[in-house]
Amino acid sequence: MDKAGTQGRAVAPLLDIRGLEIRFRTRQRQFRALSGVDLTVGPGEAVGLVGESGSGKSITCLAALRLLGPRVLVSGEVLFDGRNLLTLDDAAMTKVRGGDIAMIFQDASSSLNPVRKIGSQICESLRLHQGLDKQSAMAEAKRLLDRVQIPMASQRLYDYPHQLSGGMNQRVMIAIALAGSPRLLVADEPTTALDATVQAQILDLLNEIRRDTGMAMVLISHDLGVVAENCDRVAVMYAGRVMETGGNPEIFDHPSHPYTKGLLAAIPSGGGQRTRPIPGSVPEPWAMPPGCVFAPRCDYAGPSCLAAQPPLEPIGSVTGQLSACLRRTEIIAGTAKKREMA
Amino acid sequence: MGKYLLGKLGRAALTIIAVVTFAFLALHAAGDPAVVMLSPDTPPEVLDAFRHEWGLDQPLWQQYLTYWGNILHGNFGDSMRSDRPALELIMDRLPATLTLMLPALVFKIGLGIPLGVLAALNRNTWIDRVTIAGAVFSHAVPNFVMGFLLVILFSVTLHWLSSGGFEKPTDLILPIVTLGTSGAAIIARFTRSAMVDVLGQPYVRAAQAKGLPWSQVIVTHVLPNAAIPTLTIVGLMVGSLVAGSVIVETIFSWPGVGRLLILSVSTRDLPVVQTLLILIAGAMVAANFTVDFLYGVIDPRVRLAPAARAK
Amino acid sequence: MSDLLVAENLARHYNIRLPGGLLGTPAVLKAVDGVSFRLHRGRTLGIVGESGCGKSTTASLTIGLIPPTSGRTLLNGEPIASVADAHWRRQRRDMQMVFQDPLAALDRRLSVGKQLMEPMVIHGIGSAADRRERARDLLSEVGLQPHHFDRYPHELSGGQRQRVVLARALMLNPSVVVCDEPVSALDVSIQAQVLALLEKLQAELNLAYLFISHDLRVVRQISHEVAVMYLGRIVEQGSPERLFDNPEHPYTQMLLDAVPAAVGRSRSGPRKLPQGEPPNAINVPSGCPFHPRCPLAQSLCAAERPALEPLPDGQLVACHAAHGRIPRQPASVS
Repeated sequence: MDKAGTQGRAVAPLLDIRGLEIRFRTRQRQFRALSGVDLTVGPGEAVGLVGESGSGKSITCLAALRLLGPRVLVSGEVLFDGRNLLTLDDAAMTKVRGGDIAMIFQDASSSLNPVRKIGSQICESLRLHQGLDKQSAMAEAKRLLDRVQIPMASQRLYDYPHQLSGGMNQRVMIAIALAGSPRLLVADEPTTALDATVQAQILDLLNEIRRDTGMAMVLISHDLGVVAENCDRVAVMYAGRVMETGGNPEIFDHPSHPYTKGLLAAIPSGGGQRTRPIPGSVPEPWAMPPGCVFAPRCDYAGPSCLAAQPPLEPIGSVTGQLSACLRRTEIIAGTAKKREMA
Repeated sequence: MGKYLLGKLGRAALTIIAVVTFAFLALHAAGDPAVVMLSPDTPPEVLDAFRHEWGLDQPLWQQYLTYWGNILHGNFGDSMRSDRPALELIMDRLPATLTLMLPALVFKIGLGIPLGVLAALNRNTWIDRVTIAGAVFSHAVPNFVMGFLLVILFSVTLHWLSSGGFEKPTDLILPIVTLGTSGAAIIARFTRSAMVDVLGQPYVRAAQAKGLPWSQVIVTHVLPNAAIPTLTIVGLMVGSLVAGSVIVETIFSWPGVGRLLILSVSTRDLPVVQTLLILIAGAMVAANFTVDFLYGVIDPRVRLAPAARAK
Repeated sequence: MSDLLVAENLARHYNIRLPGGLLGTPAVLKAVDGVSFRLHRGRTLGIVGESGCGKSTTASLTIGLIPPTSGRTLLNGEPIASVADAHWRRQRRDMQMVFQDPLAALDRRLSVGKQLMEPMVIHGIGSAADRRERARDLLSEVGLQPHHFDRYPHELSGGQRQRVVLARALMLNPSVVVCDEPVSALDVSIQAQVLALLEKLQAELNLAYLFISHDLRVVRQISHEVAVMYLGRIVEQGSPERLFDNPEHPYTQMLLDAVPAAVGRSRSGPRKLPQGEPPNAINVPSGCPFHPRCPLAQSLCAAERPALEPLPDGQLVACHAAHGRIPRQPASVS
């Protein structure tokens, strides 16, 4: 798998999210869950989206596919192949879902209809996207189950989701996703609920499929290790914003944002080093601090950080890496000294 | 599925046995039945003769077994008020009751389920609020108030419909609406909450993500799953069909089972009361068993144990 | 170091019925099948394994929340009573448990302060003033503010709730705290905070921890000794450094291989994963439970179950290959 940064070449991105903003309105309050997110995915590229709770990594992708429901206000642009998905009519949008962009979710067993057989649910997608009749659809469904390495595929077609394990169901979801031959797969924490060995198998399967089909992937995870092993580029999100994007492994070797540094230090690396927690906690969306949203927890924050949220901008020295930190050049060079707040 | 049904059948049988026992004891719980039936100042010889005639002087367990024997032969005793077999009395009234209750049931389901679905699909909009407010209101208004209001409006004021009687088909309209409104409200609320619950499930979002049009998501994925809890409430309503409705039958002068029940209770016509008890309970048990069976048909998680899963 | 808690051959079997026939065919689910270990004051034993290995059942067995089918636990040399009498209640105060989901572990309707004081109320310890004081002491001990005393669980964040659960566990001054996936439901940065807190409390109060987790990286950080479980048994046990840097048992090797590499370090060669299907505690394979999925398996492995025995350097392994009884490399590898 080619892990080198792919920026710098003038290849039109497959998915180009610009300035995505999401506003929720409940009876008590109205707040912004996402504040201007920019993200690109090139053809065949794997982009990792990391963040903790409240970072907005999941709703970014749900909003792009317009799966958030009518009472959520989404603004900005989501360009897929040049078309803005946010302004498509419903009929065109349902064609995009599953056919161009497919999505798999965290808890596969709950993402399948419990009262219908596995085969019937795969066939539903096949008949929708490939127009197959019932018999050909069942044959193709079996072929897909074989492709995702489910043993005894012909029998599994007649099983119900509750009869299979979580790992098996996730493979079924991948099979359903493949039914539409999508060009982009969004995987929202696909292995978080699974055992380590099963997780490894699923991720290997996804990589294998990508190699065969040239499919691009957005991999959402809170696990930096998973992202580091499987993605070409990484975007780090915090409190509804992108804090940093860059190639893998550059972004981890030389992070240019204090949050990325903080995350790396907070994870037990398996090498036995002591972890350093990030003090404080993620602010609620309706109580965002003024200025940089990470400033209250940041070791390097200075007075200018409290004035306004820094925009996501390139770092002079490194191509392809963007950071939303005012002190990005010092952080990436490792020369930033921790400052006391004035 | 077989094992599942067998268990449910066993429970149903136990329930029936318990109900019959209770019905039997009810007769004796009211005190000495002879004294209860006849007035307290009846001469003792008359009481004794009465007791002997009705077998009340035998030991209790023997009476119990005799009772069971009689029931299994279809003999539910004779009405003390009219000397006709209790079962016959009830069967006379049953058609009238069913003529009222069955259409009412259709009304409840036909109005309740669509309203509930509509409310759920448009939740938190004005459609939802109006529907649910309407449901709460109709449920809160008592049967007899509703009945009288309808009679005053449609019968007395507008002269569109008659206020009672049992002859013309149009006589049915007011009683059915009175009976059905409250039930429709309950079904609407249950359906709405079942739908809202299912709409929040991950598989609905996943179905949308597959590219299915929203209408197909509703029909294929939401409705079948929402049917499961709705089935429970409908089953209960089917179970209470036989009991009729005392109030509605009284308001509209309908010769049904409900009025018979009240009449029998007030005249202490205990064999009839016992028989009604058993029949109504039996209907409820049968309805519940049918619901359990239908659960097994719709929901594979109920009929297929996950223990021997593939991993 | 004297043993604080000794678990001897704990086993927990469930009699279940599988579908088939009129009443189903009876079968035995061996959730835990012979687990022994010792806990010492101020030390942490970490147990790792995948789902179905029995680690959560082991946690419950250790402090007597569920009765063992066989085997026993000794606390300070005394067996843990299986009858819920006064003696058992006295022992209960010495062992506490912290669970994975802090929101589920706390009562939504009671304030934090009331829930903290509840253990003392149940055991009839101290006056109301004593309890309040101890609750406030422990609140600050776990890093919360005094005003949290009157808050409700849903008003706190996940990390704060877990601190409340910890404080409540410490109210009766236990010597053993069993932690069943205590940080799995928390964000990464909060995980680090709670782990640091656990370590601080262990140092100050000389607590013994039994730390259960599926996350090897977390277990490595906090444990003084680590045990790997598979299908109800311990297959390898030793110091974290020894176990993680140089695992002996093939399952441990594969488990470590499956964990994403530390960020920044690349993987050397293709991943070795277990073959075949994940295990089923109803049909435990004969002999070594791992043999159907093990690349080193020989006929000895199917015939004879390897015991958990020490290697010359003290590492405990239950594997014929590790003890030299069968070759250590698959035949195809030179």
